[in-house]
Amino acid sequence: MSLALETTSLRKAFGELVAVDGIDLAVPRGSFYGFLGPNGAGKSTTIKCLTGLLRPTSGSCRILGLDPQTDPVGVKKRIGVVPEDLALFDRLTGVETLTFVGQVYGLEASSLRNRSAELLEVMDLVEASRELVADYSHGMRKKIALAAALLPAPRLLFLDEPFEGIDAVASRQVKGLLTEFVHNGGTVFLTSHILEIVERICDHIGVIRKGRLIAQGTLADLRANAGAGKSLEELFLTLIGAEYAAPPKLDWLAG
Amino acid sequence: MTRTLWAFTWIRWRMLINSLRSAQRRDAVERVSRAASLIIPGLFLASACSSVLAALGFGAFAGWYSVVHPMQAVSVLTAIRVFLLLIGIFAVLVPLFVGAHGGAGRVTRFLLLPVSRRTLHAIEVCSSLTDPWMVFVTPGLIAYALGMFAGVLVTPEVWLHRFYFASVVAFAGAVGIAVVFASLSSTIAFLVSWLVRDRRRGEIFVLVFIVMLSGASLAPAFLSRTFDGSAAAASGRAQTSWVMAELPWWTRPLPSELYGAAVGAASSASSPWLPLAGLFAEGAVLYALSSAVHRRVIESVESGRTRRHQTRSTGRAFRIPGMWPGSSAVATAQVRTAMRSVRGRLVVLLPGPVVAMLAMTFSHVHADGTWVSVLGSHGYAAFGAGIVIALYAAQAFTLNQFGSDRSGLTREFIAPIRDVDLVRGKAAGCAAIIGAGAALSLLCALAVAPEGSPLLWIATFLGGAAAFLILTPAAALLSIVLPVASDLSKTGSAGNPHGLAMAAGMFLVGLAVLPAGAIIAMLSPSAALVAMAIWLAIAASIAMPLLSLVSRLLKLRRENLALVAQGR
Repeated sequence: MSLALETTSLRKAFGELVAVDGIDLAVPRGSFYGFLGPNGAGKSTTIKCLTGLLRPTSGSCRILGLDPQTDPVGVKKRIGVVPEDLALFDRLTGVETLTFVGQVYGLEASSLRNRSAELLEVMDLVEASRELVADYSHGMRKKIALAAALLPAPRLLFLDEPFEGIDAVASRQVKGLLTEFVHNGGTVFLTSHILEIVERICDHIGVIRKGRLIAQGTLADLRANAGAGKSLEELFLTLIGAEYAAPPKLDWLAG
Repeated sequence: MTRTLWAFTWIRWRMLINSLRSAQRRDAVERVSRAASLIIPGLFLASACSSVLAALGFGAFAGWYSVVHPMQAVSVLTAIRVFLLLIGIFAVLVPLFVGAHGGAGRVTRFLLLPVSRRTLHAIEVCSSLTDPWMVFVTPGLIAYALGMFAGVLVTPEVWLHRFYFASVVAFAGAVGIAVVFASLSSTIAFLVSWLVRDRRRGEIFVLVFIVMLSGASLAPAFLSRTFDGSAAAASGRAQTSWVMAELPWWTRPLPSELYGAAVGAASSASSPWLPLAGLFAEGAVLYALSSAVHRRVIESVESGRTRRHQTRSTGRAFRIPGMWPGSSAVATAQVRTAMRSVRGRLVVLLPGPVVAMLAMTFSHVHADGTWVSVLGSHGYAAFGAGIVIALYAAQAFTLNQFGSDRSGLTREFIAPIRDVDLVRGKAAGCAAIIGAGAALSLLCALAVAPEGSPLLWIATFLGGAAAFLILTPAAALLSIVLPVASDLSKTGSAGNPHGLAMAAGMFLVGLAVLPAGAIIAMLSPSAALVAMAIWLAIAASIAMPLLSLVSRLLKLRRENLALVAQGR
């Protein structure tokens, strides 16, 4: 099986806090990989390590066959990223943001113009394309960040919470776009707390808890190991050990 | 009310303490950088504490002295009136400055709490008593009243017992002054806060305010016909005697005058009730006014993005000739984001008018042959001054190249750009921003003072370029080592680079323009042009390798810069 992303004992520590603790990811090419975990589990830190925003404390990784430590520019040319903070210049317009991305990825002017126009159309941002990103709503910012990630036609997409804060229409559009991207041979690595969406679109799942990868494989593999017939939410709760946690009880809330 | 006031005091204290703790998970360089950024607030706090102690000491001594030497009581009171008049001016101007610098946004932070708006307003007014220009007024005036009381206790003469009553009036007056000044500065702060609630309205206000202020600061010199030190000293003496004399009628309702009239009347066994009542009435009116403005602020919608605005930019890719497209894109993004921020517009708009005003002012002053006349009679000198002003004004960009883009920096870091290309792109962007300011200065200088050899005008331009080149590696280095997350829409500390970087920048700009200044001042026009071209070539040959060297440091500091830009 050819891997788009592979890590070996990847570790990231901030002083005494170990955010990512020796994880071994294996993301097949052409897969839709959902990277799940509770808040503070280390999902965003992992993405930052993989995309060059953070330097891993130890361990190694290969992205599309390249080592990001030795060839960071080569790796970045082949990937698209929608990070946690969306990576947008507030005082550039939507179209200027795409122009910036196209230029640094070395796109030809005509190609840049055509792709930008198509992406703005698909993302329903044509009218707002000449407004400053600072004036965009949260959903519009998400969409322009995704457009910027798709513009250079990457082979691997890293998406940190792509469905958080966007409406149902935009969510459907984004899902359609990403599914099409995977059908055409691309690989998507995403984090999300919306497990229904992950269950519907992802074919591979990884679960991280307290910085450690506690499960990885196809959804069928996970069901076979952790409980047949379970929904992804039930599976997830089982894997992170929250299945039998009693619902919180605060007597004083009873009034 | 007391519990809420206590809670607000506690939260401010905790925020101060927590700001010291937040760097514990960061590397050593970042910890040093953050510790260093506390030096200036620390010095400020120390000076504020010593000011309060000094105010207590001076106040108590002034009160005691007024009783022990009753013939001097009027002089002491006059000094206090002048002091209060100055504080009154501060109470109006400082909130304007602070608001224009982006510090007036605290009003709505606690709106979700179950605290009545009346209480919220009262807390805001009380908190203005801790403002730096206010913090020593009330303790000083109370110490003055207590000093007066103590003076009567140690004085055996019965006729001085009227100072018992005067000390009580002085105490009441101190309370009245505190209410008036706190309400006045709160009203101004709320008004500015309301103005800047809308981003675009706020930016226009700040631009107009700063440019007008810069112009106004030169007005006294422009109105003066001479620049003679002895005349200035004489005018200073005249001012003192003017203050001592009877003030015009319209000054009587000023808080300082009402306070002086009340305490003066009580000290001379007259009735102090009318001025004292006037002082409290003023306080009540200003408090009610500040309450109304406060209500207006909290009922208005904060709009960082409400009024959508289409830019004229078509977003066409622009490539700087001879530059790699990635560096060119970084430079273009730098220029575009700068030109859409208050700081960036100030770099472009401020130097020109200031240079024009300077040139006009100094050509107006009759001081031929002195250094002040050079700016008025030699336009290239005014142009040079414009370049220096632009270099200083652009420090928000040049000394914090990676901290002012916020999440835009993440975009640059996830893009396939080499470190050296990123650093070059940032340098080119800074050059374009400063160049725009310098170009406007050139036009203004040519319009106001077109005299001087054309060779010297060209030499001045080359000198400015050399100064920028020499500064570039140092600016990149400071930006990499001492980054802070800054907001370029703010003209105050929130938009500033690191304090140490600014201090170093002030020194380095002076150092960088020194050779060019010396060449212009000491050589003939043709020799100056040749020498300046050589100096520019030397500067370029020093700057380029150094910039490449500095870009290697960027690789080591990327992670920290990304975290800082995200405000972590």
